Amino acid sequence: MSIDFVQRRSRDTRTARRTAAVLGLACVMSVGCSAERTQTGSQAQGDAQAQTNSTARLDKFSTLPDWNGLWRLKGSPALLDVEDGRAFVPGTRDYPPYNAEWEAKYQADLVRAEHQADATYPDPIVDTHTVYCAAGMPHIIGTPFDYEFIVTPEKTWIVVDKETRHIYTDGRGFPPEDELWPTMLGRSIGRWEGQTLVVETISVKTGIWADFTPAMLSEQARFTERIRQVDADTLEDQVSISDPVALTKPWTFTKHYGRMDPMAWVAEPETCGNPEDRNPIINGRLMTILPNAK
Amino acid sequence: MRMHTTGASLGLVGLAVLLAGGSVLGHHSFAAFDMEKTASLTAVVKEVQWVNPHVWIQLMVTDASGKAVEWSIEANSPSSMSRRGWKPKTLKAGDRITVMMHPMRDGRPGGSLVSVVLADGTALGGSATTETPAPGPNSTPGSSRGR
Repeated sequence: MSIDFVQRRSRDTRTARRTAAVLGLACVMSVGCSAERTQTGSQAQGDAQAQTNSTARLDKFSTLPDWNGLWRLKGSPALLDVEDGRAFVPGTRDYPPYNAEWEAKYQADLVRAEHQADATYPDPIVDTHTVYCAAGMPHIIGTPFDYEFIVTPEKTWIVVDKETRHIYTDGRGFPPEDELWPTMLGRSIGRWEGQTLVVETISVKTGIWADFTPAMLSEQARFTERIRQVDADTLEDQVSISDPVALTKPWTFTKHYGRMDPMAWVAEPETCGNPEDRNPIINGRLMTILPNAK
Repeated sequence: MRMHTTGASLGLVGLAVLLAGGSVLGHHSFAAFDMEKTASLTAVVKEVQWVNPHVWIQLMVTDASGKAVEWSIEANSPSSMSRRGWKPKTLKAGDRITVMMHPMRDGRPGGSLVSVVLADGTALGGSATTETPAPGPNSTPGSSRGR
């Protein structure tokens, strides 16, 4: 072992420690960097590359907006395309630009939904937030729950009650078609256009209510969102939904979220279907259990 | 104890329709309740069930014939109630309160909570169905009237 080699090893060790420290900071700032941790812990090579990557990564953080903390929808979550909609009042509805077939279905489902708790109605329909105990897409855009944003260069998380949107901004595309299946939240990729996060979502399960009305979309729906900060305490989400099966043109609307105390305790998620839940679904109807009621 | 309700469907005392402000605030439908009617109940708290997904307040109400009837009032989730200033022991058995609620469509003794006025005059929201208050940078779980 030459002296030169020993000195180089010593220098490499210091570099590795410095790299680990920097990556540790990045991990604290970002969460979700276990891959970097693993690399740092196991690496005997590539320190210089890791250092370069780490510095570049930290530089990227400085270009991202700080949406850290909790946000809450402004206005009513009753409807997606109306800010002050009233739910469960007959006549309340969204206005997706449905084709004739889907408009007729929506109108019929609105009537069925009014009777979802009616034991005598022959064909009720229960809202999917109750059925799945999850909002799904696009309902998750307009809920009464806390919205927590975690923004990192490669990915943004939006935590809403017990659901989490995973938005990959590392340049990847969607998975190949044969690796996709429809899910409540679909698959989301994003890109930064300046300080605006542009999100594309596909592969969402059909039948999900868009809000508290049975506005549904097909599994061909594609959701494009432009999320940006419009003032110190307001986020805006401009939404455009295209669906060649159900819509004649894109369904567009905008939602706003107000900033809460960023260090407030996040709300405990709502659970459903537990023994304390007095609103079970029985025989396709939403029940209300009244103990001791005669 | 007195009971005041809006809407002839219950055939009870009092009319003070208060249209629901707007949003549905919870995980499930409130189609079981008549959101276009608001009734007031003056009652004694029997029990508060501070549970997920939604809090329930059990009340004893004397109806027009003098008979004691147990009412079930569905509120919001414990987290949302907390956002509105409620604590698990804000109400306790024996408290005399006045409740504003949307009654059940099927006429059973139940409702969806709009607000409560305590015996000392303190008013608390907690509606599962009123508008979402605008959040602000100083909103905290204790001060925000969130979902």
